[in-house]
Amino acid sequence: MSLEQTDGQKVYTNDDDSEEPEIDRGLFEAWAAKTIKNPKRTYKALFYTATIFFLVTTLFPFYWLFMVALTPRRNLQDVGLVPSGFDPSLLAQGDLTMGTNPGVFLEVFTIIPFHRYMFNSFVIATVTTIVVIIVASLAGYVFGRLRFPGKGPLMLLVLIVSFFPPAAFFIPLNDLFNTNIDILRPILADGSLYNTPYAMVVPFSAIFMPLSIFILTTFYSQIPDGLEDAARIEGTTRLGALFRVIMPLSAPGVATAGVLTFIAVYNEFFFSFLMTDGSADNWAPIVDGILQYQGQYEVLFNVMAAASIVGVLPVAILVVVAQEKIVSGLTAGALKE
Amino acid sequence: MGNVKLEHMTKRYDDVTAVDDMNLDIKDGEFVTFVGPSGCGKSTTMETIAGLTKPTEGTISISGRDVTNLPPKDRGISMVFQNIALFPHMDVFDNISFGLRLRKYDDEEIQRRVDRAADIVQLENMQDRMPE
Repeated sequence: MSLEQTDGQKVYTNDDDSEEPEIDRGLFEAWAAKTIKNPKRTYKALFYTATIFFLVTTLFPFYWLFMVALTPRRNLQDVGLVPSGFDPSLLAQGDLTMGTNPGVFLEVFTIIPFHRYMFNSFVIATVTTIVVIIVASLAGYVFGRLRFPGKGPLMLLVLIVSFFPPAAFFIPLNDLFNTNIDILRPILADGSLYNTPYAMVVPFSAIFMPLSIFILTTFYSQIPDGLEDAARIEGTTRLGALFRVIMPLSAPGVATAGVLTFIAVYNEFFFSFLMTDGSADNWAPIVDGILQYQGQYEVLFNVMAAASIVGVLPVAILVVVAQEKIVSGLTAGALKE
Repeated sequence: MGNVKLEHMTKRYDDVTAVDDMNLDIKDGEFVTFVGPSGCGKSTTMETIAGLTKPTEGTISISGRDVTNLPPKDRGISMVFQNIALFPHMDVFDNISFGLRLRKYDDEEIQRRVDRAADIVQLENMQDRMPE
């Protein structure tokens, strides 16, 4: 309070004397004056502050996971910013691990068949993504490029469906998937979808479809009509034009929808956890695998952490690769009619 | 080549009538031009003949065959668009050969025809370039 008052007074006297002021400024005021003179510096500083903030908040959990994973099991009750028991001086004694436990990343696969869980998740996510992209492409084509009565209400309906919480679908679906259906008997062991990948692919496709429909509708509506007409004159059907011309030209949009769907399915917990009995042979995804490390008397937090990291890596790599594609598609896709 | 015949062709969009009861008989080899102010239905007529839009009423026949309900690819017609319609994601070869590939010509035949077409428009050494 007193600081503000003295500041005010100083400004006042300067105006009054109307001479070049030689104010003695506080630290903060000096900084403010500098930034007014050179705003680019401030923007840069703000940019770095924000970047570092978001980097820390996103990457710290991974760092923490990594630390927990590396902590030897006997030290698990005492996890710090470095793995408990970490001692660089051990390196001199020939202990390359320096008191940590990198072997945990192998344990992940020896305690349970974690690779099988990863494979299951991968298959479920891939199949769902393919189904979603194909069906959402058809819907996106219709919503984005055709004019027909009732288009608005129909899109609204799609939007409304996406507002339902997935949990609302669970009980009826679980009931349905546990019913033995005779027609399915030749394909599925006991004629029910429970404990099969279909029990997850079907609801996931439905739940994540609306988002992809909206993304693809926007992209497909921007492709000039002339290109589609030309393709149809040259000898494709409407469907052929969609897959040969419209989809390739909307590659960034298709990639975005695909990546978002893939990640969402790969991360999904609720249906993944409840639609199988949790064993790897019954198509249980990664979530179930990680929970398998929780025994009756002991929870292997370090192995769980290691498994989480192992599970995230393939998707992280995939997203980085796909992102490059998305960006290159965005910059190279300059359309001209 | 063949005769093109429009009979009582009418096209309505919602509440706008773009073409109203048009009758036209184009003989084989005849050269016909549509001229008129914008919005008078020239493009709509072309599009209905090509099959890009379906007429609301009336029939269209080419060489005596009723094509009113056929998709464009089964009408055996070609069309040059007002705007250049190059496929931006395909190179010169793919652009020229698009129709041939769709009609399942064999590779040598496609290559031969593309070479000839590229030769005519002096694009012979640029078949792997992308449209700009």
